[in-house]
Amino acid sequence: MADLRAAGFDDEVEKVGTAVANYLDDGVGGNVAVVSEPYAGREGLLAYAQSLLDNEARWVALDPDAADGRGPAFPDQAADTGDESGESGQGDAGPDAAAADKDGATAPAGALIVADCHHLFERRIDGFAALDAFCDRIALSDALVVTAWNRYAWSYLDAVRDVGETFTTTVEIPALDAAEIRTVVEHHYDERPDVVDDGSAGRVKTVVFDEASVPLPAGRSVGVPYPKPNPAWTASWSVSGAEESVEAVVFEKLRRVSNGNPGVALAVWEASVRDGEIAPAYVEAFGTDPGLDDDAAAVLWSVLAAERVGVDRLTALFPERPVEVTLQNLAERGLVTVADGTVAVAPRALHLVVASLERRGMIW
Amino acid sequence: MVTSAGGDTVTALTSALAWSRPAVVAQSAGTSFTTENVVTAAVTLVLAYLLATTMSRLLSGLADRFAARRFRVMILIPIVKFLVYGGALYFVLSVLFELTQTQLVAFAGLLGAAIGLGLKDLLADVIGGIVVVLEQPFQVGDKVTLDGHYGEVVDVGVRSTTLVTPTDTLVTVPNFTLFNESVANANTSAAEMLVTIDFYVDPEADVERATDIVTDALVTSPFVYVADDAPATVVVEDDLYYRTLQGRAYVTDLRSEVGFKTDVSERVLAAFDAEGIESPKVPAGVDDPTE
Repeated sequence: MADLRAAGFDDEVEKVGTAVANYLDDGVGGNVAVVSEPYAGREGLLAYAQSLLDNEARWVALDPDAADGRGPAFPDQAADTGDESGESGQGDAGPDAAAADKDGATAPAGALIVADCHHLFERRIDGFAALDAFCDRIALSDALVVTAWNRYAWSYLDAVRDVGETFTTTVEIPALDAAEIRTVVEHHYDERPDVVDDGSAGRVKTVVFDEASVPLPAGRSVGVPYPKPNPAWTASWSVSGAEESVEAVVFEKLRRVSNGNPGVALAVWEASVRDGEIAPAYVEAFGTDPGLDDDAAAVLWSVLAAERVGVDRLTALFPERPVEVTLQNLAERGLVTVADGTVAVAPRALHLVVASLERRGMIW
Repeated sequence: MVTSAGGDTVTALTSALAWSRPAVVAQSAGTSFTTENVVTAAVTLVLAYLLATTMSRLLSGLADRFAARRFRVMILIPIVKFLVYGGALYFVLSVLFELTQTQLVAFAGLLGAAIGLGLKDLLADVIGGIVVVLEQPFQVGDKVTLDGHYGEVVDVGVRSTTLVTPTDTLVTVPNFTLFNESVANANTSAAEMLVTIDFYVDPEADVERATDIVTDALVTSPFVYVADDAPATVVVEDDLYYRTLQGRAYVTDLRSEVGFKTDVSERVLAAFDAEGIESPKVPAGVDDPTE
């Protein structure tokens, strides 16, 4: 938990803790959805929830085949004959189904932690059966269900399937600031490279711009930009050494390039270290607008929403599109990685892919 | 009497003065058609054309970068053109003409006669263009039906409005048409637009299953946009010989209308075939909706 708080997840830890505490007090669970971008570390919050439950919660990690089944079995649905295909189980078996103890009080209904719930659907005709069955069972169950979702799949499913209404608590993992990114990097690597100033360091911005939403009539709103002091600049204000200032610039640039995503930041960090040294100029954003056509955009959206998916599954999902040629093209441009027949969005290219799909209106 | 040496100097000076005096091309009371003024007017018109063209291209490029705000940027194009050309014309007239009150009255009289004789349609077009800019029944980028033609508005000019139809035909509609015809605007300057697709099934077919297929096909299309205020729905209508399933959904960009219809239709018809959902069998002599 200390790591999560140090990484800037105070509010999120609080929400998960409250949901688990309510379940432990009442014996009946609310449902929690942890939503984040790929590589943003939502598994940490799931592990925290499991630790609060004394590791008695059943942990299920779904894989892309989950869309063919009906989702995981629930601990309080003893007669459940649900198809558990697509699970890769982890941890102990779940607690007993809800039953009255000798004092007449109702024992907890059980807890279930489900990672990668975005694998419960596929964007095709009849692709929502497993998701609908899962949500129906959540509605009928008294168990505490803590789930994790890909943000882009979640926003799509919330719009077309109202999946957000199934969960009483939604926890969105925020973008990290420069100091929190530094904590993540320092925690991940034992050895730090030397920070050098190659002369093109650039200075830390004094002022950054944020956007405030001003409401207008008829339910509309307009974003009004306003300046505010850059936290990285105020942090480096009192630093006297030139090396510390350059280091602040490095982490500020890392934050900007990664959009505060810890997984992306680590990938950018690794790519930026040269011969044991790092400089602000070495930290670079990935590529320019890839100019996607319709085939590439459709395939890329499915890969982004699923985070990892088999090439065979994509080929079956898009029988009319040249999937393998498209994937080869995307891989050559560094937008995706293909390993052992599984495709994933390359961490460094994540936000470039998101921006391209946003411009096409495929991300809402 | 100037001596010959001084006379040469005076002659040279006089020649220089004559050269520096501007040649008068034509001059009468109220006009100033000097070479300098004519050149100024010509240069002004050329610069106005270059400025209007450059601004138009810049704004088009900017509109493509901001997908969600594309239409708010594109509406500036006819306004900028109007201002640039209007300003240039005013400057040219002020340079070339110095009209007296008598000339104004005579000009007005001539103008009235010309309008009465044959320019009334042109004036109606021009006023129609001004009405479009002020009232904004549609804007550049909207999908509209004008004078029976359906297409995307690509230009609103002083005299006419230009549409591009789904078959890539450029249609020029005179602006005066707006005074007599109704205008149907499919998206009212929003990027999203409602698209409807009709499917016809046999009355004995499983309509509930067919509805589920159409709904899924709509929301899984890569061109669709779904939100609380932009839901995807299927409307079922019953007829004696067939049932109509009308799928209604919004596309993220009105330019995706045809791609969306094609994508949804292909997948729905394939699914209908796989599920055995049959097309209607309409007897001869009855209007067949599938034709």
